[in-house]
Amino acid sequence: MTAIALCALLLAGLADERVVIPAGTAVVGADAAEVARQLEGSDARPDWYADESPKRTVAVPSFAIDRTEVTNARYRTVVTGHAFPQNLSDHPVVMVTFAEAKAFCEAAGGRLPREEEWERAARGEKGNVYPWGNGFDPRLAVHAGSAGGEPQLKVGAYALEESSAQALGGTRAVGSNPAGASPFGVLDMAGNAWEWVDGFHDEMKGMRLLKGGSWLAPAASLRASVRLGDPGQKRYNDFGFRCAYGAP
Amino acid sequence: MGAMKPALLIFSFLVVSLTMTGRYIFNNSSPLQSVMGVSHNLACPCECPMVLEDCHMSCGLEWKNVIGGLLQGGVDADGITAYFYKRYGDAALLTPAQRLSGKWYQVTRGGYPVREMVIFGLIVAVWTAMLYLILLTLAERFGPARSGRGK
Repeated sequence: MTAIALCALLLAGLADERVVIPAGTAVVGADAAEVARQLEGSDARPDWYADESPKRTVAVPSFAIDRTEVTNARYRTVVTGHAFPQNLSDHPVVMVTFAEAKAFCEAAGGRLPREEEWERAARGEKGNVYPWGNGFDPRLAVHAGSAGGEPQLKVGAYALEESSAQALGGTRAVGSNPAGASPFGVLDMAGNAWEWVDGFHDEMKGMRLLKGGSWLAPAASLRASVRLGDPGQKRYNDFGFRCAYGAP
Repeated sequence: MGAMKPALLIFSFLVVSLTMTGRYIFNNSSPLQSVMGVSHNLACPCECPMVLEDCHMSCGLEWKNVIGGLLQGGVDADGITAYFYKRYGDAALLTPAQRLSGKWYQVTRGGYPVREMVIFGLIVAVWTAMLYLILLTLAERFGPARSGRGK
């Protein structure tokens, strides 16, 4: 990394807001019966979300986490070759692999959040189902139901279609749903872009873990306990990340 | 027996044509734990209303690549369907009506395939004839006419 990039990163780091999460107990996962109840009325099969069980509590030391997902503008401070349309500078960076997300956070003096940290930041002390509470509200997250004009996004959106101008998909500016903040004030923990977290969905299969749902995801995938496993080696227009840091 | 023959012929034709059409639409001829096997139950993400297994556009091929990567990682067919639902919701799943319209689109997208339809018709005719003859033989052997002669 060049000295210029380091300076830019420092400036960007100062500009980007972090939220300090106090030490406490994280509610992680959801019981099968709870998942089935939460999925009532949707076409989702509860066994597709069985990987969230069992619900458990985990002691988590104090840490800090980015208030929003890492944006295109911030990502370019480190990855100078990262190109994006100017009007998407404050959108979450997407098309990053797990390794690229991890490398960025380490360059920023942090790391990817662990799953229990991510869920604590998203669910608060009480272990909310969604960052804002226990009832779903489609206005509070950028997801498939809020995309608006969804049909025209279909080509080059559900799939990458990298030849298309729509390759970056239908994210929105980070923090565009302040009412959807978590109890700790962390934004976009539901929707906009799936977020890489440190750890595995299935270590035996080498499946990395993503949390939070995306602009393409159904309501059922916006619950904070949802886990998505992916090999982590391909770039997708609905996969982004945010960083965590040691206690200040 | 003479009056039964047309009914048997129609019955044979309906059984054969419905079975063969249903087999084309619903039968998964690929192993379940394969890219085509999994694609059989997913929708094409492109604009065309196709079943993913029939979709060869770049957007469809991208999804097939995703499926291939997950299969290589050891994820089974149901796990892959769950993966697609989590990421894309209903848009990734096929309803029976979508499957029917997708298969119809697959058949007719390049215009009506007259040669293939003639071949399909011939195959249906051959199987219909075979089923008809079998049923006719059974009817003559065990049907009411033979019972009547026995008295």
